[in-house]
Amino acid sequence: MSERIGITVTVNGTRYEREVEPRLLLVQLIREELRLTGTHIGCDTSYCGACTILLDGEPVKSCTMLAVQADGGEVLTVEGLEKDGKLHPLQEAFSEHHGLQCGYCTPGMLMSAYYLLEQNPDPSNAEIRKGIQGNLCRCTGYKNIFAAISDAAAKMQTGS
Amino acid sequence: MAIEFNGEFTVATPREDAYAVLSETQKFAPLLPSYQSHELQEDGSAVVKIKVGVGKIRGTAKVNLKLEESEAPIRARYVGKGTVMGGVFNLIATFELEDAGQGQTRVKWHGDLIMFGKLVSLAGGMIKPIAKRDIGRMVEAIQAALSGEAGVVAVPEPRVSPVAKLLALWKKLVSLVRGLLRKQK
Amino acid sequence: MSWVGKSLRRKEDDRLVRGNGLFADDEQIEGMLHLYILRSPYAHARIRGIDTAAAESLAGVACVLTGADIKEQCDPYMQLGPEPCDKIIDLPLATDKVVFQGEPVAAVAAETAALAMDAGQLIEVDYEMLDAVVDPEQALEDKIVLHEAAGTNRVWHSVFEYGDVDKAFEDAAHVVKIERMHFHRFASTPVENNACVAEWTRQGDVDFLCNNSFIGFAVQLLAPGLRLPMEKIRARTYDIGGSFGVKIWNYVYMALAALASRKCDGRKVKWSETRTEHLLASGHGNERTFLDTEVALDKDGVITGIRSRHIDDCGAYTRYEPLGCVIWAQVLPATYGVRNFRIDFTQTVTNKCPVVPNRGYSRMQHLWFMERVVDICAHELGIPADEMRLKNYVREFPYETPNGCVYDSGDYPMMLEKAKELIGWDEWKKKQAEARKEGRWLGIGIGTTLDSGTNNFGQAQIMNPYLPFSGNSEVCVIRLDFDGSVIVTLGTGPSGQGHETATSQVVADELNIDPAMVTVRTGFDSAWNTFSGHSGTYASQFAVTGLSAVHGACQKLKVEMRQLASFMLEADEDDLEFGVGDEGPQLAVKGTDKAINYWFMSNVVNNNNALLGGNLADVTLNVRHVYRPPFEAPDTEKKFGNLTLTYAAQLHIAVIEIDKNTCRPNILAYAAVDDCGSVINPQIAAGQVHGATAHGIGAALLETFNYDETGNLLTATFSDYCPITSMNIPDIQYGHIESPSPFSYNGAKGMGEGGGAPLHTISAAIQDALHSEGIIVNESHHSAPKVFERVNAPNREKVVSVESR
Repeated sequence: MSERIGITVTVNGTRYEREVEPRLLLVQLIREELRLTGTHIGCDTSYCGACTILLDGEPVKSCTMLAVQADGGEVLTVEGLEKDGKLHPLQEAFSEHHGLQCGYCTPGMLMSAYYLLEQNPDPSNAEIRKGIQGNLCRCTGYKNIFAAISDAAAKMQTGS
Repeated sequence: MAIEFNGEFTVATPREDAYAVLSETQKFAPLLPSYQSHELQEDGSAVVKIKVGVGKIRGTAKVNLKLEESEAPIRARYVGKGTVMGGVFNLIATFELEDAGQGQTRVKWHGDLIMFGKLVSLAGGMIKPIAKRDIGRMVEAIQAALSGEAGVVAVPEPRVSPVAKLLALWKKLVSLVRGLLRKQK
Repeated sequence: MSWVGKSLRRKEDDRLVRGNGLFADDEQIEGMLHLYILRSPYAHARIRGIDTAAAESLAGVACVLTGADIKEQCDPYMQLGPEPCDKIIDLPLATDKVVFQGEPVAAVAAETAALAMDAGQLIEVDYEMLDAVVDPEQALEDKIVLHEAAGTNRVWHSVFEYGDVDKAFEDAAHVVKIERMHFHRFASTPVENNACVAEWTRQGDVDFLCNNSFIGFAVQLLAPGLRLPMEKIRARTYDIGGSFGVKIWNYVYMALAALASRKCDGRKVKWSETRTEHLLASGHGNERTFLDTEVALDKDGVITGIRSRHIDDCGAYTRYEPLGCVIWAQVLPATYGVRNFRIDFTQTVTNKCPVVPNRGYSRMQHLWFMERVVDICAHELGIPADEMRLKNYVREFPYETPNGCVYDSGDYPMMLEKAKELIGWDEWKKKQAEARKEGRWLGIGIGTTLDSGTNNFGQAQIMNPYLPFSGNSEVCVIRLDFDGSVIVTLGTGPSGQGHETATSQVVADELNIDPAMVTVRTGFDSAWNTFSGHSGTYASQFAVTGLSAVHGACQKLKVEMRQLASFMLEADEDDLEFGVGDEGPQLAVKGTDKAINYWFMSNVVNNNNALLGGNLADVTLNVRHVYRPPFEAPDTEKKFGNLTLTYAAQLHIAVIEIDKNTCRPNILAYAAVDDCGSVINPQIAAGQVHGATAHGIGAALLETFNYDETGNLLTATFSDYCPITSMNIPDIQYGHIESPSPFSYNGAKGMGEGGGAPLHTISAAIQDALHSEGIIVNESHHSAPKVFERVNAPNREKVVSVESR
């Protein structure tokens, strides 16, 4: 496994060039090579969604993709949500509504919610449930997460 | 997961000749489905390599096969242990030979397959029919070998082993799931 | 201004929503090795040999550990149980025999995790497969014995008898017999797997950054296992991605990372479990079978006595068990006034994953049993489910149970009323009547449960009289820092429960400062020396033990502050008052402008002590308080005593319709009412209720550890285990009442485990839907296939009988 492949990936606006093993997973690239440990790993069957990131604007479970497949891509991780020292409305809402307890699923949950609101700025409750169906949370029972996403959507729409 | 198989067939070969094939690991090993190669060990067992995989994903599974018990010319019993991605399996195959007259031999066979690991939980109830069919094919291969010239064992056409089929199934499932996940919107 | 009682936004969130938490697997150090644990594919097998040559010769492999290393360097972990548990040999790696699928047999440390896994695949283990036993009743026959040295699978047995149970049966108007009930195996498996980074330095010190959730206890077991004095082990946590009790015994595996570090000359070694490993081998909840249950009732349907035989299945090793054989007795009569009991309790080992104190540990199983008893009796005697509960609820508090436990406070009828209101009981009753006319299967179920918090460890002596454990304790250190802010150190090591926030609220109130001025150190570190043998986050106790320690420490700090201020201001201590002045929080002389602020007090003690005089040598403004609940050791012969300090309660109601084609139970409405006494942070408390409810619903409808007859786990991935998702959780109507506990300083009750309320509730709703079909719900798992099996084989005739006189 000594063969290495050169890739270029832009993560949260920063361009990285790396020589990686072909079998390196995207999540491993993000966590271990780039040291962005906000993206977590929770399972090995693409069920839990703790590793969700956006690749070229689409949500991806980064444990289910090879780093080389992301070559030339633009990645957004939880670390990229805060802008100019200001939390994203979703981050604010998750905290305000107690939509997180241990915080382990939160980064992946935020990324799925981020994508959901980009596609659908005013989602119904059913749409919110569906939007995060690929993200497992064991602490909150989801109730406060639904409330947080709904509230963030409302605030983003009114621009407050 | 434990699966039991049994059945019987008759071959136009004298019992001694049939026994000679069935009781010699060297001759028996190539009858395993998707046989690739084997290596005899000091203790008389054989490490048999069988091909697994479909499409671009290919690999080899190793089975350690040992003639555990034999009584000329009436019984041969093999114990096999194999490793494959995501699990292991144990196989016990017993052959009992009866003289059916007119130079024919009736072979009663009994197999116990026990599988462990992720493969079983992933493929669940689908294993049994697939395994059954492949054991059937192996028995056909044995039957063909026994019906051939005594002592000369025809190596059957490599076939996709049950393990390989499961593996293929598993890969399909994984790619299906991945596809779905990529598409989640 | 009072901060306690407010939903203060959590301090923890600032780092967690940014992805800036530090979970054990996030730790990255140059030159760190990665550990792969090779695990047994067999549930029961003898190890005839291990060939590690190929693995060791792979480039990048630093070392390989096998049973041979372990035998040389470790002593078996202490098992808490008496004979024959003490004969069980429990080591970080199996040496001669494996007894469950997933048990570690070798470990490899290599430069990368992928290389370590590659090397692991090259290790050849020669197993001789043995027959496995997965059924607890078969295990008790001892035809297959797991631990030969123990000689039997039966690891614990005793009879719990209270009152005059036989007389209760002689006098009974009705006797209901239930042949068999079964509580299934599942776990509240957290999203973060077990992980640690270990270093065994050349000085012989061992350092762990880990995610163990009960370190005060773990270190006591780990140190002797590694043949080290306790002080040689430093164990730290930072953020923990959920535990729910499952991470209480990952110390078993942490040892391997330490031993690998030792073998690799002190290089740091990271071990990070995969999900499959976690489901196979990190710890399951207790599985329990209830046999030959007999219930005595009077003519009105009041339960007067219960006789029953219970078998608990603890999996392959006892470890923390057979504590579960006693813990359930904290809630012996559940929420009911039953006075006469005879429970014959046995625990057995089987070739399955060992159990852990999973959320609701041992009480949940027993509460489910009691709820099934009450519910089945109601259905069999034709008493409406709500009336049956009202006839039997405990009403007067404090209430001493037949085994000496004291229920501190509560109001179960009021909770029932509130839950009925939330769900719209009368409306649903009407709809149910209509549905039944149409032949639909619609049921309404009530589940009442207790969340007993703050254990008296003395109950461990009921299980094993020689155990040196009793009482309970928690530690807090509080320090007035150089800048006048307050630094708090806890022993609790939380895993998402918001201890930093709740603690800040308590301290802010006590010291009259803003919570922003309180820094609660994140996680746990044994080097802080702020822990006792009971320290940890488990058994629903933080609001009582943790916050009482914080409260006590605040009082001690205030005493010192008064002494200091009295000297500095030349005033009598009684004339001083805490308040906020122009220069921040201060102590002032009443009615004057003479004051000293917090910064200056700290300055005098820490940097400017030439000013310090008088008898103030002992004033450090850095105080330590250990809270000890007022427990006495129980009577181990009679199995009598107060086993827990507080009893939070929950009452849930569910409306469920079972699809007649697919047999899938669909939740149409769900209400949860909670009573955990006075609430410190309502949002955090409600969040705990939501979470526990989700775990219970998941367990009832989706989650189960299915083993086949060979001990192969069939649900070893999330895709098979199916933890509850956003698509399966119903809308929950949430309400609460407050019955302050008279036994805690703040009226709070420990909470968070939830007592498995949804399991009781959903079982009751399904019972209500299917009783007319000749079905007795005597299992706790209700996936569609299970319900399908049930409706195709009505069991009422076989399972239940009623004798009325």
